[in-house]
Amino acid sequence: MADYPDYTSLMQIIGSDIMVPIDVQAAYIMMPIDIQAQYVTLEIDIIAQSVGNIAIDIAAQTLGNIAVNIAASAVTLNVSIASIAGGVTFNIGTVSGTVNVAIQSSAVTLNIAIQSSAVTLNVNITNTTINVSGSVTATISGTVSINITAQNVGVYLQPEWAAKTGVDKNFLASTTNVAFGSGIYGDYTVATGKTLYICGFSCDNFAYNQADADSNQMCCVYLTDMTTDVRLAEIGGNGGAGMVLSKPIAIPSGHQFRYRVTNRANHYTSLGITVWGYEV
Amino acid sequence: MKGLEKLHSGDFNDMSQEWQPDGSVIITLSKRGEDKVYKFRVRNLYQPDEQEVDIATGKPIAKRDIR
Repeated sequence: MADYPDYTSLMQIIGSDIMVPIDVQAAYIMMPIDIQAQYVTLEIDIIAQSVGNIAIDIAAQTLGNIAVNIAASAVTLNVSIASIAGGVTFNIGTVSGTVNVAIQSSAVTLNIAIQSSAVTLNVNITNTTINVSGSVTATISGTVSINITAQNVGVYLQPEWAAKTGVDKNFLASTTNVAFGSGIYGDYTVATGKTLYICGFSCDNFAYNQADADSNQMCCVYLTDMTTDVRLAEIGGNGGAGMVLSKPIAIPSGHQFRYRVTNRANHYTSLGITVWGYEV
Repeated sequence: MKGLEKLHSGDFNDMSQEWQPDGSVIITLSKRGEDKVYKFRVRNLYQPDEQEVDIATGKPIAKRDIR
Protein backbone atom coordinates (compact mmCIF):
# COMPACT_ATOMS: atom_id res chain seq x y z
CA MET A 1 0.00 0.00 0.00
CA ALA A 2 1.39 3.34 -0.96
CA ASP A 3 0.36 6.88 -0.16
CA TYR A 4 -0.12 9.46 -2.84
CA PRO A 5 0.21 13.21 -2.42
CA ASP A 6 -3.50 13.85 -2.97
CA TYR A 7 -4.37 11.38 -0.17
CA THR A 8 -5.42 8.74 -2.67
CA SER A 9 -4.72 5.23 -1.47
CA LEU A 10 -4.09 2.39 -3.87
CA MET A 11 -4.94 -1.00 -2.32
CA GLN A 12 -4.05 -4.27 -3.95
CA ILE A 13 -5.17 -7.48 -2.28
CA ILE A 14 -4.23 -10.84 -3.65
CA GLY A 15 -5.53 -13.85 -1.72
CA SER A 16 -7.70 -16.91 -1.99
CA ASP A 17 -10.09 -16.01 0.81
CA ILE A 18 -10.33 -12.40 1.87
CA MET A 19 -12.90 -10.41 3.80
CA VAL A 20 -12.43 -6.67 3.77
CA PRO A 21 -14.97 -4.61 5.72
CA ILE A 22 -14.92 -1.01 4.54
CA ASP A 23 -16.61 1.83 6.36
CA VAL A 24 -16.04 5.14 4.63
CA GLN A 25 -17.45 8.25 6.20
CA ALA A 26 -16.39 11.13 4.09
CA ALA A 27 -17.99 14.05 2.35
CA TYR A 28 -16.71 13.11 -1.05
CA ILE A 29 -15.40 9.76 -2.18
CA MET A 30 -14.49 8.35 -5.52
CA MET A 31 -13.93 4.64 -5.21
CA PRO A 32 -13.66 2.68 -8.47
CA ILE A 33 -13.89 -1.04 -7.81
CA ASP A 34 -12.79 -3.64 -10.31
CA ILE A 35 -13.68 -7.16 -9.21
CA GLN A 36 -12.49 -10.02 -11.31
CA ALA A 37 -13.38 -13.12 -9.42
CA GLN A 38 -15.29 -16.29 -10.04
CA TYR A 39 -17.43 -15.93 -6.96
CA VAL A 40 -18.37 -12.60 -5.50
CA THR A 41 -20.77 -11.66 -2.76
CA LEU A 42 -21.31 -7.97 -2.87
CA GLU A 43 -23.60 -6.33 -0.38
CA ILE A 44 -24.21 -2.68 -0.97
CA ASP A 45 -26.36 -0.52 1.23
CA ILE A 46 -26.67 3.03 0.00
CA ILE A 47 -28.37 5.49 2.28
CA ALA A 48 -28.18 8.84 0.62
CA GLN A 49 -30.46 11.76 0.11
CA SER A 50 -29.69 11.77 -3.58
CA VAL A 51 -28.13 9.10 -5.71
CA GLY A 52 -26.88 9.68 -9.18
CA ASN A 53 -26.69 7.13 -11.92
CA ILE A 54 -25.95 3.57 -10.97
CA ALA A 55 -24.86 1.66 -14.01
CA ILE A 56 -24.82 -2.09 -13.55
CA ASP A 57 -23.58 -4.31 -16.30
CA ILE A 58 -23.91 -8.01 -15.51
CA ALA A 59 -22.38 -10.25 -18.09
CA ALA A 60 -22.66 -13.56 -16.30
CA GLN A 61 -23.63 -16.71 -18.08
CA THR A 62 -25.90 -17.68 -15.25
CA LEU A 63 -27.60 -15.31 -12.93
CA GLY A 64 -29.52 -16.00 -9.77
CA ASN A 65 -32.22 -13.89 -8.25
CA ILE A 66 -31.93 -10.16 -8.26
CA ALA A 67 -34.23 -8.63 -5.68
CA VAL A 68 -34.88 -4.98 -6.20
CA ASN A 69 -36.95 -3.05 -3.73
CA ILE A 70 -37.42 0.59 -4.62
CA ALA A 71 -39.33 2.61 -2.11
CA ALA A 72 -39.02 5.98 -3.75
CA SER A 73 -41.90 8.34 -4.34
CA ALA A 74 -41.00 8.82 -7.98
CA VAL A 75 -39.01 6.30 -9.96
CA THR A 76 -38.29 6.00 -13.65
CA LEU A 77 -37.26 2.47 -14.33
CA ASN A 78 -36.27 1.45 -17.81
CA VAL A 79 -35.86 -2.29 -18.13
CA SER A 80 -34.74 -3.85 -21.36
CA ILE A 81 -34.84 -7.62 -21.32
CA ALA A 82 -33.40 -9.25 -24.36
CA SER A 83 -34.14 -12.84 -23.56
CA ILE A 84 -34.96 -14.87 -20.51
CA ALA A 85 -35.66 -18.50 -21.05
CA GLY A 86 -37.41 -19.02 -17.74
CA GLY A 87 -39.93 -16.26 -18.21
CA VAL A 88 -40.49 -12.95 -16.59
CA THR A 89 -42.91 -12.28 -13.74
CA PHE A 90 -43.96 -8.77 -12.90
CA ASN A 91 -46.05 -8.14 -9.84
CA ILE A 92 -47.18 -4.57 -9.94
CA GLY A 93 -49.11 -3.38 -6.93
CA THR A 94 -50.37 0.09 -7.71
CA VAL A 95 -49.61 2.14 -10.76
CA SER A 96 -51.19 5.52 -11.20
CA GLY A 97 -49.36 6.37 -14.37
CA THR A 98 -48.93 4.57 -17.63
CA VAL A 99 -47.43 1.16 -18.09
CA ASN A 100 -46.11 0.62 -21.57
CA VAL A 101 -45.18 -2.90 -22.47
CA ALA A 102 -43.59 -3.57 -25.81
CA ILE A 103 -42.86 -7.20 -26.53
CA GLN A 104 -40.93 -7.88 -29.67
CA SER A 105 -40.58 -11.57 -29.91
CA SER A 106 -41.40 -14.24 -32.41
CA ALA A 107 -43.11 -16.40 -29.81
CA VAL A 108 -44.70 -14.97 -26.70
CA THR A 109 -46.99 -16.55 -24.14
CA LEU A 110 -48.71 -13.78 -22.31
CA ASN A 111 -51.03 -14.54 -19.43
CA ILE A 112 -52.83 -11.48 -18.21
CA ALA A 113 -55.11 -11.37 -15.20
CA ILE A 114 -56.57 -7.98 -14.56
CA GLN A 115 -58.54 -7.58 -11.35
CA SER A 116 -59.38 -3.97 -11.24
CA SER A 117 -62.52 -1.91 -10.89
CA ALA A 118 -61.56 0.37 -13.73
CA VAL A 119 -59.26 -0.60 -16.54
CA THR A 120 -58.57 1.02 -19.85
CA LEU A 121 -56.96 -1.55 -22.05
CA ASN A 122 -55.94 -0.68 -25.55
CA VAL A 123 -54.90 -3.70 -27.50
CA ASN A 124 -53.45 -3.37 -30.92
CA ILE A 125 -52.75 -6.70 -32.52
CA THR A 126 -51.16 -6.64 -35.93
CA ASN A 127 -50.57 -10.31 -36.18
CA THR A 128 -51.89 -12.07 -39.23
CA THR A 129 -53.34 -15.08 -37.42
CA ILE A 130 -54.86 -15.30 -33.98
CA ASN A 131 -56.06 -18.59 -32.59
CA VAL A 132 -58.20 -18.73 -29.49
CA SER A 133 -58.76 -22.16 -28.03
CA GLY A 134 -61.31 -22.81 -25.33
CA SER A 135 -64.13 -20.55 -24.30
CA VAL A 136 -64.05 -16.82 -24.00
CA THR A 137 -66.58 -15.24 -21.69
CA ALA A 138 -66.96 -11.50 -21.69
CA THR A 139 -69.42 -9.55 -19.58
CA ILE A 140 -69.59 -6.02 -20.86
CA SER A 141 -71.80 -3.36 -19.33
CA GLY A 142 -70.55 -0.50 -21.44
CA THR A 143 -70.29 0.02 -25.14
CA VAL A 144 -68.46 -2.31 -27.44
CA SER A 145 -67.26 -0.81 -30.69
CA ILE A 146 -66.05 -3.27 -33.24
CA ASN A 147 -64.32 -2.12 -36.35
CA ILE A 148 -63.60 -4.99 -38.67
CA THR A 149 -61.56 -4.15 -41.72
CA ALA A 150 -60.80 -7.67 -42.74
CA GLN A 151 -61.76 -8.68 -46.23
CA ASN A 152 -63.15 -12.02 -45.14
CA VAL A 153 -65.14 -12.07 -41.91
CA GLY A 154 -68.15 -14.24 -41.15
CA VAL A 155 -70.61 -13.17 -38.48
CA TYR A 156 -73.52 -15.56 -38.02
CA LEU A 157 -76.81 -15.20 -36.26
CA GLN A 158 -77.61 -18.02 -33.88
CA PRO A 159 -79.93 -19.97 -36.24
CA GLU A 160 -77.33 -19.89 -38.99
CA TRP A 161 -74.61 -20.88 -36.57
CA ALA A 162 -76.76 -23.74 -35.27
CA ALA A 163 -77.12 -25.09 -38.80
CA LYS A 164 -73.37 -24.85 -39.34
CA THR A 165 -72.58 -26.64 -36.10
CA GLY A 166 -75.24 -29.31 -36.53
CA VAL A 167 -77.59 -28.53 -33.64
CA ASP A 168 -80.47 -27.42 -35.82
CA LYS A 169 -83.77 -29.29 -35.78
CA ASN A 170 -86.26 -29.86 -38.60
CA PHE A 171 -89.59 -31.51 -37.93
CA LEU A 172 -92.04 -32.81 -40.51
CA ALA A 173 -95.41 -34.51 -40.29
CA SER A 174 -97.74 -35.30 -43.17
CA THR A 175 -100.79 -37.35 -43.99
CA THR A 176 -103.34 -37.81 -46.72
CA ASN A 177 -107.09 -38.11 -47.21
CA VAL A 178 -108.12 -36.05 -44.20
CA ALA A 179 -111.67 -34.83 -43.61
CA PHE A 180 -112.71 -31.39 -42.44
CA GLY A 181 -111.57 -30.78 -38.85
CA SER A 182 -108.98 -33.52 -38.84
CA GLY A 183 -105.29 -33.14 -39.39
CA ILE A 184 -101.84 -34.34 -38.52
CA TYR A 185 -99.42 -33.53 -35.76
CA GLY A 186 -95.92 -34.34 -34.60
CA ASP A 187 -94.58 -34.50 -31.07
CA TYR A 188 -91.14 -33.87 -29.68
CA THR A 189 -89.99 -33.75 -26.07
CA VAL A 190 -87.04 -31.40 -25.66
CA ALA A 191 -83.89 -33.28 -24.69
CA THR A 192 -82.63 -33.12 -21.12
CA GLY A 193 -80.58 -30.05 -20.35
CA LYS A 194 -81.39 -28.36 -23.64
CA THR A 195 -83.77 -25.73 -24.94
CA LEU A 196 -85.58 -25.91 -28.24
CA TYR A 197 -85.86 -22.67 -30.19
CA ILE A 198 -88.47 -22.55 -32.95
CA CYS A 199 -87.53 -20.15 -35.75
CA GLY A 200 -90.33 -20.78 -38.24
CA PHE A 201 -92.94 -23.14 -39.60
CA SER A 202 -95.00 -23.77 -42.72
CA CYS A 203 -97.73 -26.08 -43.97
CA ASP A 204 -99.48 -27.06 -47.13
CA ASN A 205 -102.98 -28.35 -47.79
CA PHE A 206 -104.29 -29.60 -51.11
CA ALA A 207 -107.32 -31.53 -52.34
CA TYR A 208 -107.22 -35.27 -52.10
CA ASN A 209 -109.66 -35.69 -54.98
CA GLN A 210 -109.12 -33.95 -58.30
CA ALA A 211 -112.70 -32.70 -58.31
CA ASP A 212 -111.85 -30.43 -55.35
CA ALA A 213 -108.60 -29.11 -56.76
CA ASP A 214 -109.99 -25.68 -57.62
CA SER A 215 -111.76 -25.21 -54.31
CA ASN A 216 -110.44 -23.35 -51.32
CA GLN A 217 -107.97 -25.47 -49.34
CA MET A 218 -108.31 -23.83 -45.95
CA CYS A 219 -106.02 -25.00 -43.18
CA CYS A 220 -104.54 -23.79 -39.92
CA VAL A 221 -101.39 -24.49 -37.91
CA TYR A 222 -100.96 -24.66 -34.15
CA LEU A 223 -97.74 -24.85 -32.18
CA THR A 224 -98.36 -25.89 -28.59
CA ASP A 225 -96.33 -26.57 -25.47
CA MET A 226 -98.25 -29.64 -24.33
CA THR A 227 -96.56 -29.65 -20.91
CA THR A 228 -97.95 -26.26 -20.01
CA ASP A 229 -100.90 -26.53 -22.43
CA VAL A 230 -99.99 -23.12 -23.83
CA ARG A 231 -100.53 -22.42 -27.51
CA LEU A 232 -97.37 -20.75 -28.78
CA ALA A 233 -98.31 -19.76 -32.33
CA GLU A 234 -100.97 -20.28 -34.92
CA ILE A 235 -101.62 -19.25 -38.47
CA GLY A 236 -104.22 -20.02 -41.12
CA GLY A 237 -104.20 -20.00 -44.86
CA ASN A 238 -105.65 -21.22 -48.10
CA GLY A 239 -103.57 -23.98 -49.57
CA GLY A 240 -100.86 -23.45 -47.00
CA ALA A 241 -99.29 -20.94 -44.67
CA GLY A 242 -95.92 -20.11 -43.25
CA MET A 243 -94.13 -17.82 -40.89
CA VAL A 244 -90.52 -16.96 -40.11
CA LEU A 245 -90.23 -15.78 -36.53
CA SER A 246 -88.17 -12.71 -35.79
CA LYS A 247 -87.98 -13.88 -32.18
CA PRO A 248 -87.54 -17.62 -31.73
CA ILE A 249 -89.99 -19.43 -29.49
CA ALA A 250 -88.13 -21.11 -26.62
CA ILE A 251 -89.35 -24.43 -25.27
CA PRO A 252 -87.65 -25.66 -22.10
CA SER A 253 -86.02 -28.98 -21.47
CA GLY A 254 -88.45 -31.84 -20.91
CA HIS A 255 -91.46 -30.03 -22.36
CA GLN A 256 -93.47 -31.77 -25.04
CA PHE A 257 -93.73 -29.67 -28.17
CA ARG A 258 -96.57 -30.38 -30.62
CA TYR A 259 -96.88 -29.01 -34.14
CA ARG A 260 -100.22 -29.58 -35.84
CA VAL A 261 -101.95 -28.69 -39.07
CA THR A 262 -105.70 -29.11 -39.49
CA ASN A 263 -107.82 -29.31 -42.62
CA ARG A 264 -110.49 -26.57 -42.68
CA ALA A 265 -111.72 -27.22 -46.21
CA ASN A 266 -115.09 -28.86 -46.76
CA HIS A 267 -113.56 -31.77 -48.61
CA TYR A 268 -110.84 -34.34 -48.11
CA THR A 269 -107.28 -33.06 -48.38
CA SER A 270 -103.69 -34.10 -47.96
CA LEU A 271 -101.59 -31.92 -45.74
CA GLY A 272 -98.23 -31.57 -44.08
CA ILE A 273 -96.37 -29.32 -41.71
CA THR A 274 -92.70 -28.48 -41.24
CA VAL A 275 -91.13 -26.71 -38.28
CA TRP A 276 -87.53 -25.61 -38.01
CA GLY A 277 -85.33 -24.31 -35.28
CA TYR A 278 -82.39 -25.41 -33.16
CA GLU A 279 -81.74 -27.08 -29.84
CA VAL A 280 -78.89 -26.03 -27.56
CA MET B 1 -84.11 -49.28 -29.90
CA LYS B 2 -81.24 -47.14 -31.12
CA GLY B 3 -83.60 -44.83 -32.97
CA LEU B 4 -85.78 -44.34 -29.92
CA GLU B 5 -82.69 -43.49 -27.86
CA LYS B 6 -81.66 -40.90 -30.42
CA LEU B 7 -85.13 -39.39 -30.36
CA HIS B 8 -85.11 -38.95 -26.58
CA SER B 9 -81.56 -37.60 -26.48
CA GLY B 10 -82.24 -35.16 -29.31
CA ASP B 11 -79.35 -36.63 -31.29
CA PHE B 12 -80.71 -35.85 -34.73
CA ASN B 13 -81.29 -32.99 -37.13
CA ASP B 14 -84.36 -34.05 -39.05
CA MET B 15 -87.45 -35.88 -37.88
CA SER B 16 -90.51 -37.00 -39.82
CA GLN B 17 -93.59 -38.43 -38.16
CA GLU B 18 -96.31 -40.41 -39.92
CA TRP B 19 -99.25 -41.26 -37.71
CA GLN B 20 -100.84 -44.61 -38.37
CA PRO B 21 -104.50 -45.59 -38.16
CA ASP B 22 -103.83 -47.70 -35.06
CA GLY B 23 -102.51 -44.68 -33.15
CA SER B 24 -98.84 -45.56 -33.48
CA VAL B 25 -96.39 -43.34 -35.32
CA ILE B 26 -93.60 -44.13 -37.72
CA ILE B 27 -90.64 -41.87 -37.02
CA THR B 28 -87.72 -41.23 -39.31
CA LEU B 29 -84.60 -39.60 -37.88
CA SER B 30 -81.46 -38.47 -39.65
CA LYS B 31 -78.40 -36.54 -38.68
CA ARG B 32 -75.95 -34.77 -40.93
CA GLY B 33 -72.57 -36.37 -41.02
CA GLU B 34 -73.93 -39.79 -40.20
CA ASP B 35 -74.54 -42.20 -43.00
CA LYS B 36 -77.59 -43.66 -41.29
CA VAL B 37 -81.32 -43.10 -41.15
CA TYR B 38 -83.32 -44.46 -38.23
CA LYS B 39 -86.89 -45.46 -39.04
CA PHE B 40 -89.01 -47.09 -36.37
CA ARG B 41 -92.58 -47.33 -35.17
CA VAL B 42 -93.69 -46.35 -31.68
CA ARG B 43 -96.91 -46.85 -29.82
CA ASN B 44 -97.90 -44.38 -27.08
CA LEU B 45 -95.12 -41.97 -27.95
CA TYR B 46 -93.80 -40.03 -24.95
CA GLN B 47 -96.17 -41.87 -22.65
CA PRO B 48 -95.09 -44.00 -19.67
CA ASP B 49 -96.04 -47.13 -21.59
CA GLU B 50 -94.18 -46.04 -24.73
CA GLN B 51 -93.26 -49.09 -26.78
CA GLU B 52 -91.41 -49.67 -30.01
CA VAL B 53 -93.42 -51.97 -32.24
CA ASP B 54 -92.89 -53.80 -35.49
CA ILE B 55 -92.67 -51.21 -38.23
CA ALA B 56 -94.67 -53.31 -40.70
CA THR B 57 -97.46 -54.66 -38.53
CA GLY B 58 -97.60 -52.32 -35.55
CA LYS B 59 -97.55 -55.32 -33.25
CA PRO B 60 -95.08 -55.87 -30.39
CA ILE B 61 -91.65 -56.95 -31.55
CA ALA B 62 -91.19 -60.66 -30.98
CA LYS B 63 -88.29 -61.46 -28.69
CA ARG B 64 -85.86 -64.06 -29.88
CA ASP B 65 -85.88 -67.38 -28.17
CA ILE B 66 -82.23 -67.95 -27.34
CA ARG B 67 -82.68 -71.35 -25.75
